[in-house]
Amino acid sequence: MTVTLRANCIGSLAARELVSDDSRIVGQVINTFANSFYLKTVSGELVFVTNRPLRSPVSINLDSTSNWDQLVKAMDTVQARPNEIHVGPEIRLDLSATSYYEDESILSKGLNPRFSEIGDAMRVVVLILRIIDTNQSVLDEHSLAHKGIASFLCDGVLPLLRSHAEERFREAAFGIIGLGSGFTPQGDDALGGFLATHNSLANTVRRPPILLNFASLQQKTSWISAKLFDYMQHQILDNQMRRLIDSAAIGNGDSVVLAFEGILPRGHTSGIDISVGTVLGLSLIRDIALGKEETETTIRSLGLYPEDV
Amino acid sequence: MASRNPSGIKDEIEKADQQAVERMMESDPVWADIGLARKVIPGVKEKMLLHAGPPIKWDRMSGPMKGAVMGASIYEGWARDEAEAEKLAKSGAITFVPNHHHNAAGPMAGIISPNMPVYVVHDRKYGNKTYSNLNEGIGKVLRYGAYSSEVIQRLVWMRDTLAVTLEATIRQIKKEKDGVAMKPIVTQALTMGDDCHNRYNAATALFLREITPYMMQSGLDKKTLIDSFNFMAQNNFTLLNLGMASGKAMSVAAHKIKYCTIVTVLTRNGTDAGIWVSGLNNEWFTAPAPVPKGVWFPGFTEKDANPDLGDSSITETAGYGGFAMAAAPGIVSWVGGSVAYAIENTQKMYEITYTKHKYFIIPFLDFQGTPTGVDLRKVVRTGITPTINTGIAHKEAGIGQVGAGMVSFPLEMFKEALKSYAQKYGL
Repeated sequence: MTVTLRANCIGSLAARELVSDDSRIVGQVINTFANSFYLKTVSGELVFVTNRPLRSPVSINLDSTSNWDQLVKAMDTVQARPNEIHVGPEIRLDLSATSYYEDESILSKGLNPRFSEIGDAMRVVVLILRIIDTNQSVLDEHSLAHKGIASFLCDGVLPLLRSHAEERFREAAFGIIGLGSGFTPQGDDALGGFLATHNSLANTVRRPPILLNFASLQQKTSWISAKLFDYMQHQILDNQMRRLIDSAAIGNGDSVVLAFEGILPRGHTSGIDISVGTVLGLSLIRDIALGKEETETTIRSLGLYPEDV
Repeated sequence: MASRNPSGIKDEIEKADQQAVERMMESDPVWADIGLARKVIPGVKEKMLLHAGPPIKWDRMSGPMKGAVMGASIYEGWARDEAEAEKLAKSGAITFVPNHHHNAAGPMAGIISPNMPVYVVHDRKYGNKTYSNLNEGIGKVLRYGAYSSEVIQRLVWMRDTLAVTLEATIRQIKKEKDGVAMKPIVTQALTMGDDCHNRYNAATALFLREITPYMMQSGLDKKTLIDSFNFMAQNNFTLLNLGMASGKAMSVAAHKIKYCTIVTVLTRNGTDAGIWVSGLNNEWFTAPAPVPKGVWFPGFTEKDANPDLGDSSITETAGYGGFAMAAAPGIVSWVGGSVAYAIENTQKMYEITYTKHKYFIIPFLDFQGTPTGVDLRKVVRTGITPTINTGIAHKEAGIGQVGAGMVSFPLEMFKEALKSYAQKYGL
């Protein structure tokens, strides 16, 4: 029996990879969960199919709320058909009424002068991170990644306050790739959050984006985690991350906090780990933009300063 | 980036939340009195209507809320008909105030007018008094926005006969004790297949078993007693309102505790949903009220449904109702879903609550306590929001109940509340 699931949105990268008027194989299912699954396309991109409302260039959003893990199996073939995508023998994704999501940033306008005012919002975010349950995240002193992250922040992030420390950053960053546990390890998530923010805002403070070589990433973590990280460092972002970074750039502190709160529930600890990286990325850019040195205090407030760990 | 010692705050929260849920669970509400709202609820005045949910003005009220306002205006004699009632409400002559501002709770539209009889619940442990109106039954009733003459006549009968019976009964009861203890009734009903939000069959029977001997000794005439008894016995929701006043007493006991992140009000007015958080006092956090998914009365569909309304989610706030659905498998025939879903919902609520109730237990879950004390931090951390069962009102004024179902509170207001909390305690 074939089950038709209606797609309500498809991201730009997912559409480029999977939509075709010709009938052909375009990918393969690699992981399945109750309400989502991951595809690897023939050209090596990752697509996330979900019934959650989160929009991203690499996602397909479905209306259905049923559990698909009984219908979709790892290794199922993904085939493009006109206005449809067939997943294995039983699932048909109907694209006839789908909208299209493209990640668009307002950052070409640069930092708004109100960017300086997000300090209070960042203090609020730090407090929230300290009072919620952060068990097994990078903030948990008993987690596998806690000490490693602390070292990375000292050896890799703080030196970025000075120019020309990118190489040192890369060395430290590779030390936390693959660090921790989970579908996407804590180190990958935290670093991904940091680089998504840093690279999105770097040109506003006349700094180069920092990119880690994908082949090297793959040697240290799973392909899926490396791929998700790679999208973040290249600023291929979901709408929540985009809203967060854009809100910071225009100095809308309330929106920054709400965007952070929207990210927190992701995965087991991914939301917290990404948030930690993101708040530190924002803190660093703010320091560079305003000539301040508050990132170290942020790190201490999060309980991640090496001497305190 | 200066910050207060965050570990210190976390410790303060832990102490405050522990204290709050302890007070919530140890609260000891008893039905102690009944009287007209203007006489027993402090601050209620003429031309004032208490309503469910967060604050709202006439122009933003939903159809069923407007219908209930018009019905109450006719009942009070402020207007002769619908047109006069609408004109009066539009004129600004009526003051609208949330029930929660007066320690009251009312189901659905939750309208309490000055001359409506209300139950007075006294918390023997902490001394608070809370209030709720009397239950009219289901279908065409004021709380669902109906205001036809049969609705008004029933309200008048409830004031002139039912409330008189209940008043005589409670006087008789109070010759022997403080009143009717509500916690034992809820506790027992949860083991008898009620959830004590949308299923009060057992609780109503237990209540009647307790009060009937006193009713019979009240000295009232036989017809009054029989009519009153039949009215209550034939309505499975008789005890809903006392259950709500009891839930309100439990949550009032946990309210206004510094640093506390426990939610002390969950409510909706048919336009907005709203919450209070203990450590943030009476600050409202609101978001658009969602439309329930449910089982429809014959002739109605989801297109007829109004966004959710009512203070009845005070039961979930206090650790029963939808949070105890695993105790009430029979309820799925009323609100829809499956028994497995009812169990799953209770299990899910453990993820966002502070503790398991000491007294409210669920036999099917190996006598575990119900999920108790919605923790603001856990809601935002998990993205799981309180899910409750609810009645569904028609979106137009004057029609009434069209079904019953399930609904989850919107996440946005919890995010706003946690932001506000962090601003208050962290900056």
